[in-house]
Parts: sequence; structure tokens; C-alpha cells
Amino acid sequence: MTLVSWEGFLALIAGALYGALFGAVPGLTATLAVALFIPIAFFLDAAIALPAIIAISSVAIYAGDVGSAIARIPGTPASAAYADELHNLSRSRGALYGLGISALGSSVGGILGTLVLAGGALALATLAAMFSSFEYFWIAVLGLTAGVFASGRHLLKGFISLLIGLLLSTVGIDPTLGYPRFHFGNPAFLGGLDYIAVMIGLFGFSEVLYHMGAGTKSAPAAHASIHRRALNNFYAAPLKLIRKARKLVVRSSLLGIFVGFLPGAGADIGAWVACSLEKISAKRQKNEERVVLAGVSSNNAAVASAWIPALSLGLPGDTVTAMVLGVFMMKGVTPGPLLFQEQMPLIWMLFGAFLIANILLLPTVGLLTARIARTALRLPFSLLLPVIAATCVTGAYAINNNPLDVGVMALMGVVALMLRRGGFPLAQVVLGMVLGPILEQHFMVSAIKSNWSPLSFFERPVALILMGACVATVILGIAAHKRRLTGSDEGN
Amino acid sequence: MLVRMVLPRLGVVVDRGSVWIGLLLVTLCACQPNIEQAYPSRPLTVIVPWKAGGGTDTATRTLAAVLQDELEQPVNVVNRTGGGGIVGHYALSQAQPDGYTLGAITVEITMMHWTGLTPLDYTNYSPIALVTVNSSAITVRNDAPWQDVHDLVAALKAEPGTLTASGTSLGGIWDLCRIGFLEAVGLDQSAMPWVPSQGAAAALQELLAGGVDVVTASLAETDALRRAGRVRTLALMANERLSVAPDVPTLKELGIDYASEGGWMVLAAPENLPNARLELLRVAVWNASRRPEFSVPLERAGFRLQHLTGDSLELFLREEDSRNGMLMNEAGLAL
Repeated sequence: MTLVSWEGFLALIAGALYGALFGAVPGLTATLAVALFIPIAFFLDAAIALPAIIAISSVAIYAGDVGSAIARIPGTPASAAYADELHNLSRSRGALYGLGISALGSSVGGILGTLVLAGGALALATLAAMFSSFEYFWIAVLGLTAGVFASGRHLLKGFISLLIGLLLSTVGIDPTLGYPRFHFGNPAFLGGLDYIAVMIGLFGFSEVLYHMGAGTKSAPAAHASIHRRALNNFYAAPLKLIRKARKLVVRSSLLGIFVGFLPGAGADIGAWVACSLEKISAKRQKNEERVVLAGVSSNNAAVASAWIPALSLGLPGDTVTAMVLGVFMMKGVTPGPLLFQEQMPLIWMLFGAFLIANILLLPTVGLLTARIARTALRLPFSLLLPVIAATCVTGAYAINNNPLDVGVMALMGVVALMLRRGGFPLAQVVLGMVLGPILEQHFMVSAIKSNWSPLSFFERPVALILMGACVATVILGIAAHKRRLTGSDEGN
Repeated sequence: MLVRMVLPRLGVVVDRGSVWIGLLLVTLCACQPNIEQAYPSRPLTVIVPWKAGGGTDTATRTLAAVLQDELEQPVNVVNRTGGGGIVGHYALSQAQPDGYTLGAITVEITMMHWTGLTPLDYTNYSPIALVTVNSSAITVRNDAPWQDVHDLVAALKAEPGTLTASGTSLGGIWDLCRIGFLEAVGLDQSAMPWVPSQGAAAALQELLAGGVDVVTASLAETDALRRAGRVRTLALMANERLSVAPDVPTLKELGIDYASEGGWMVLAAPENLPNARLELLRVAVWNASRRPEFSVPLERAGFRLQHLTGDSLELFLREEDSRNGMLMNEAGLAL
């Protein structure tokens, strides 16, 4: 049986290049890339349209890391979890090595995610259908807890950053009752602050301001990777790392899969928990490679597992799978358990497309983008800065075509500058902004459903398990923190 | 002189031939105003006030793809999101009424001004045509004990307030449909309280997990789950059945006198669009909406395509505005 027709294969390649472009430019997202493609997809055969969507979303998530590598601008909230580590790695050991870890780690995570999608979609879908607002509330709490313990030496500073993010997320119309908050009479604020605009400002624009103010020349990127060693840096070295850290990769991918298949909020929380688990359990201080590896593998594992509720329940896990369901309806394909009995050729084609996207396309398109990133990193920083500044402005505008977002972005750049001075981590602000609405929404819905009975949060079994995971994270995290503090004291 | 000195330095070779061609081009450009009379002579922009990938976005992008064949000009779709749709609706109302900026206006334009969030209402636009109508569908879990709407109504009357419904935010269009339905069967809106959600997908997740009992979102949004056999659609709050779900009855057929237009989308231009251009666009949208490349995919995806224009569209908007205002007043949401 052929998995994918040659037209489908061409669609995969075209989708991968298109997805790489959208992922790498800050402000353009995988969702937008797919949305622009949908009117065309309606005219195409499902065997062409669906592989293209798979390639777009798989590669766009990876390409979001290109911005982190060059300019510390993460493409997605999930990649904010390890943006600092990836950026430092790309500066010290070359973009090819940093993005090699990202591409190959994504690839392995994606393959594991696909295997679970192929093997256990129906069983996992049953689990996903058990998640009500109480469970989502605890999942959001787990994500926030993981965020605090991912903040390194100063837990309190990480916690404060998280609170700033939560505060920013309260701007706009309240998600449950529709009450407008902190809009200062400006209708543009009613929709809240866009977290991508905030992210671009916090990471990208603050970098520009920082170097303008400091006037220092940052250390030029490593020139170690001469052409002969490019392949070694992109393929061989990361592969060796993945083999050495295979337990970590499997663990992070599983986290990505098991949080990613929850419709609504999965992928971001998965990457954060994976990164924070690695930081908690790390014995050594310098483990940047392993943190990046944990993040990217769980990230791309979630891309595949987000299809689980869509295929087996007909419930969209995110905006991309919502559009996929639209294509299904259009083609007369009925999602649900019957899909796995009656439409096996289609299912095999989807799995084939996922495997090709992860095994073939990510490593090749990845090398292409990494080479561009390497060239960018070799430019003198004084030349790179104006380009980053321009990218920040256009990127912030491109998200919603809203000039207000540019202002928000610039203001966040200034805020980030002050936070950096004080040693407060930035990624936690983004996490707070992403999880704030989820936490609030599910808290309010749970409270309304149960007539404000606090006990209802502890009554359902899955909710109790998740609460246990939160408590365990706190205990393990504090223990690891103490161990690390005494460890580094002895080192001194 | 300046040209001869500067251009060669920039690597542009100037010879006599290219000067003539340049002059010719300038002359052609000068003729442009005459050509400009023929509308449309340049690409059009369509503003969507909701996020890429949603129902309004899908319908607009599908329409735009066909409309550009009809107008023989590119039609670009731009998402201007934020403010619960206010940002995009505002942007369209502020654009030049020259026919080059159009936009999708949605049912929210007849709701938002009642809450005092914005002064914008449907009179700030020149409506071109009604494109899609998505009626509310009463959806329950597959294992729910009620076989039809009458069972559900009986359960609501026996124990008012024990069953909950969801579908969108508080005071959103599906909430208004719930209030209208409850009223039509002689119940207070507290008989089936509303649990706000971030949208139809989140409400359906709650429905599956047993968090709520009824979802009143549109058939387009619930159809994937219905076909997958996870949920049952008891009735449609529309005037007639949908071809994509011929076995789902309407409330009126079941003896409950209630129908709502639900969530609709109208293609509009800013207020005071010149009549000639409005007429041209009406014809273009009419022709576009009859083409199978537009109608087949959307109908299969559960959208109802309904074409209204001119006076009947004005009447439709006026009725929707007063009806939604009344329902919001009853819900305690209006000022």
C-alpha cells in the first residue's frame, strides 16, 4: 500500500517550505498559514490538502525556534520555555548546532507523537472526553507551578514574573461574564493584550534596547562551523546528544503527547512542564542542550497528538485542527470511531504524511533554515539590530493588523529591560499571559457550575490526580532548589 | 541631467531607448484617471473582525476566492481582531467608502451597542448582501435520557434550574437563543442557567465531560461530533431544515413557535458607498454565491447560505437589531 501519492508528497514539500517561512517570521503563525491555505484546500483532493496542512503545522512549530536562535524571539509560547537556552547555545556553539538539536529533537518528538496517534488515538480520546473545567483548572495550575520551578536560581523572582503575566492577561473583556477591565476607554484594549505582541516586545525588542543602551559589543557568534563540519554540527552531534539523552526525549515527548491531546491548551503546557522537569532533576548547572531538547521534543509530539480528539471525537484541539475538521466535513469524511474502521486508507495516509514530515522534511528544511540563521548570526551585531527592530514592529503589526499591538510591543520592550536589570526571568511573563485566561475561565466555569462550592474542585478522580501532580511538583521543586543552592555553595 | 548623473551610479544604465519607454509609461500613468472610472481597477480588501480559522473567516475567505473571479481583481482577506469583534467592525466603519475596502459584519453588530461597549451599529455600514446564516441547534450528549425536545422541556419544567447549557460567552448569540427558546416554551431563563465558555469547542468539551447538559451552538460547529455519534441534535432553531442534516427537525415543526437567525454574516462596505458601486457589488456577490465552488464546500460544512440584499436586507438587519436588543434586555445585559 502506498502511504502517500506523489502529488501528496509534492504537497508535503511545498507545505514544509511555506510553513518554514510562516514559522520563522515573528507574528506570522502556523494558524494563519493554514487559514490562508483553506480556500485552496477546499478545491483540492483530501490526499493533497491534508498532507500539506500536516507539513505546514509540523515545520512551522520548529521554524518558530529560528527566531529564538537568531534574536531570542520565540515563535510560539511553547518555545518561550527554552528561548534563552537555545539563543545562548546558538551564540556559543553555532546556529547549526542549536537548530540541529531543535530540528532533530522535534523530529523524534513528532515521530513518537505520530506512533501514539496511530496506536492509541481511540483510547486517549476516551480520556480526553473526561476532562471538564475542573480538570482544566488543575492542568493550568500545574503549568503555572512548573513555570515557577523552571525559573532557575531565584524562585521568588520567577514567581513575580509569572504574576506580572497573569496581571497582563486580565486586560480586556472578562472571558466569562463579559465585564470590560483595564481598557482606559480605548476599544482596542477590549480584546486584551495579544501575547504574541507581548512576547515579541519582551524578547526581541528588549534585546534591541539593551544593546542600544549598553553600547557593548556582544561576543561574536562562534565561527567554528566551517563548511565541512556543517553536517556534523547539524546532524551528527545532535543525534549523539539525543542518543545519550534518549530517556529525556521519550519522557518529554510523552509529556507533550499526554498534555497535547487535551483540546484547548495542551501544547504550551506540555513544553513548559517538560523543560521545568529537566531543570528540577538536572544534576549539573549547565544543561542548556538538555532543556532545549526537552522543550522541542514535547512541542512537536503535541502537534500530532492535537489531532487525536479531532480524528476520534470530532472535537477540535486547536485552531489548526478546527480547520482540518472543516476540510473533513467538506470532503464528506466523518470523524469519530468509525473513521478508524471505514476509512483506513485515509488514516494511513495521514500517518504517512506525519512520518514523512518528521523524518524527511524537518531535518532537510531545518538545515536550510539553520544555514540562513547561521548567516544572520555571523553578521555584525550592529547590522543585525536594526533588522531585529524592524522585524519586531512588522511582526507585532502582522498578528492582528492592529497598530495598538505595535505600541504594546514597544512598551513591553522597556518593561523587559527593567525586568532584566533586576534579574527577573521573561519567559514566565509569557506563561502567565497564556495560562491566565485558561485558569480564570475554567475556575469561573467550575464555580458557576457548582454554585461556588470549593469542594467541587476535589471531587473528581482525574482532578485529584492532577492536584497531586501539582503538590508533587512543589515538593520536588523545592527539594531540588535547596539541593542546588547548597551544591553551588560547596562549589564556591 | 540629474538622471544622467545619479542613475548610472546606482547601476542603472540610461540610454535613449529607455528614456522613451519611460516617457511612454509616464503618459500612460497620466491617463490612469480615465481608466479609474471603471470600478474595480485595483485589488479589494475584505476585513474580517474575527480570528483566522473561525467560521466567519472560513466563509469570507471562500467567498473572496470566488468574488475575485467575478470582479476580475484580487480580493485580499485581512483579519482585524480584538475587542470581541469591535476592533474589526470599527476599522470597516472608518474606511473610505470607495468600494475597495469591504468587510464581514456579524450578528454581534446588532448586540454590542446595546451593552454600551461601542456606539457602532448596523447603520454605520452600506450592507451589500447576507451571505451565511448559522442557526442554533439544541445538542445533547449521545447518552442523554431525552429523545426529543419535548422530553427536554418536560425535564426542565419538572426540575427548573438543574440542567445547564453552554455554547459561548455570557450574553453571546447562543445565550440569546437559549433565552428565546426557554421563553417560547413558557419558562424563565433561570430554568436552564447559562455556563459561559470560550466558544463552541470549549462548550462541546464540557458537554462530553458531563459538565453541562445542553449546547446551543450552531450546527456547523457541532456537526463533526454529531456525525461521530458523540452527540445528538434534538432540534434546529431555524425556519427550515438544513440539507446537510435532513433528519434534524426545526422547533416550529415540533410545535414550538421559535426560530432565530442565529449567527449570520453580511458582506458590507462603509456607510455612503456610491450607489453604482453598491449595485455592481450586489450583482457580483449574487453571481459568486451561486457558484458551486462557493456553495458546495460551505453547505457541506454545515453553513446555511441565504441571500438577501437591498430593502429586504435592511429589514432583516432592523428586525435582528430590535429582537436581539429585547433579548439582551431580558437577560439583564443591556444598558
